[in-house]
Amino acid sequence: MTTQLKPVKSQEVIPSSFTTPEDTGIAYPVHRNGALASLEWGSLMARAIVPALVVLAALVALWQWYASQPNIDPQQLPTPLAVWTALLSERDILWQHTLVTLQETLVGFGVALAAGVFFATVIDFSPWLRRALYPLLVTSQTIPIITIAPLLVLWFGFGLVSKVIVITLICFFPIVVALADGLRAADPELLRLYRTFGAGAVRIFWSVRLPGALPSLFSGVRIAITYSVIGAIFGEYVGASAGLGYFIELKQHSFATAAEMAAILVTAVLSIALFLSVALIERLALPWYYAQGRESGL
Amino acid sequence: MMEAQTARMQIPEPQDVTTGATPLLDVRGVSMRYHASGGAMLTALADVNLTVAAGEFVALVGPSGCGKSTLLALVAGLEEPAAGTIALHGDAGARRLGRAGYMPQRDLLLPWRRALDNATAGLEAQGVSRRVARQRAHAIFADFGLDGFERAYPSTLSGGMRQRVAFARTVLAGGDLLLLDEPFGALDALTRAGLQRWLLDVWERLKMSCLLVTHDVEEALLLADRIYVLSPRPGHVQLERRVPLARPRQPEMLAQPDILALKAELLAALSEGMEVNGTPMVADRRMEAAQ
Repeated sequence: MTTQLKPVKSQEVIPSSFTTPEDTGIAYPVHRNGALASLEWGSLMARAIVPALVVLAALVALWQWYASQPNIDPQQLPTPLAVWTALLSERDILWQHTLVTLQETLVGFGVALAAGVFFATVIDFSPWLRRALYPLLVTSQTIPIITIAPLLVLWFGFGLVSKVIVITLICFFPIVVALADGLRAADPELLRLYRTFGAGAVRIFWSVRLPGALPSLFSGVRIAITYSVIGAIFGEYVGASAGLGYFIELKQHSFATAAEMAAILVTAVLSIALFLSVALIERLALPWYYAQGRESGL
Repeated sequence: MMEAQTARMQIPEPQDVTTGATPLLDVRGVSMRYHASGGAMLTALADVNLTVAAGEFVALVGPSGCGKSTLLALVAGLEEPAAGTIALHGDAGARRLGRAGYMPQRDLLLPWRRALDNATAGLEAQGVSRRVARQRAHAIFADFGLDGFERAYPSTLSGGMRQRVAFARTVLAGGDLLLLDEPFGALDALTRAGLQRWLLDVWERLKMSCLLVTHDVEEALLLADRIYVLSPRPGHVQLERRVPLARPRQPEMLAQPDILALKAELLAALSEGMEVNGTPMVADRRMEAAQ
């Protein structure tokens, strides 16, 4: 697991001369070469995905067999095949609703990210603000969203705003916590070293603390992006005129269970796609983090 | 390289207070106290006097916990002394942060920066543009045996190479005074010996002023023009000796009779202090952790 991407290190060799440093025995097997690196990436993906696919296929087969039994009501449990058929026949409408949900998700996530980074930074700069804000931030997470979502719809209407607020409330907390922890984890000796360079607090923040906290921030972002789709669906479910959550609620009331499950499937695919996008951005943004021999967090 | 230069130079006579010239670094009557647990005050340094002349290599030897790292932190400007003055270029009132190259035991490279950009980190923190900083780092990379590793991330470098990148960063940021706090302390013996010879080689070309903290008497003899021995806590200068070795130096020179005698004298001073003021090692460790 940890040995995958490490360079092959031969014994430590000090250059014997001031001007001929070529005998410094280290070889770079993977990172120096883009083609090799992407091959490695591909085989990692394959190894990560194949076992899951096998289990999934077995479960779907079991479901198909069970739901095909004559005593099973298709309105209660449609077969996977029926869900797939519903998905194809409703694909244009589903696509329209998906776009609405995607827009809400991205806007809500964007606001949550901005709010999260803002609060984490403010908390990091001032111990007083940390003591003032942290309890409030934690308290905001103790409110069951399920109880205030109808109120939000009442206050902000059936449109985008109420959904964005629900998503932001759900998503900003993991981002604040992850980034604040990452900023706090900065090596005190490193901060001392930067002080001896004559660097001030702002430069130390940009040069040392923030870059060092990015892996931690991405951990929070990966949690937040999966929550954000759930938040959007939930916001729509409570009160909306469009979106996958609205579609699911509609089909539930008309007992069109196959179409309902097709929409749930689309929701899941949307979540996975967003999660993978974040993982990809993380990999591109933090090449040094993965040069230390880590596999990506998939 | 050194084998070719058989001609031995005379030791340059470092300027110091006695010759009238202003030393690069002048530490006078410096004391330092810390709050220990339980409200008591611990005196880490007591009335330390020390100078480093321009172009001089000075080593500070002492048992662990004697306050030698504290002294370096004081000179770097990370802390202010409880008493006494620290003057750079004769100016005791000026801000010291950002004026000397401070190198701690750990390399402290930024894992997200490639080797070259780690070497420029100090310059950039001092406000030098990235382009200019890179040019200056590029110019010394070959001399530091780092040619071809400009784009390597620290995690892919060996311990010895990481330490050389850290030293390049220190030299670039350091102005004219380097403060080295046991820079080889965390390395294995072989790597350490190699890096000592390498530092000797680099320094004999750079001729920057250097204050090296170490607990290794042989390392001090090999590298330094002058050696101060600090007593156990509270640290004060117990012995000061000039190293009568020409440059360029080689490790074999340490076997000369006069150097062996000097080594015995330094070791005696070190252990004598331990007998008189000897504090248990456990307490010393705790003291260092508290700092």
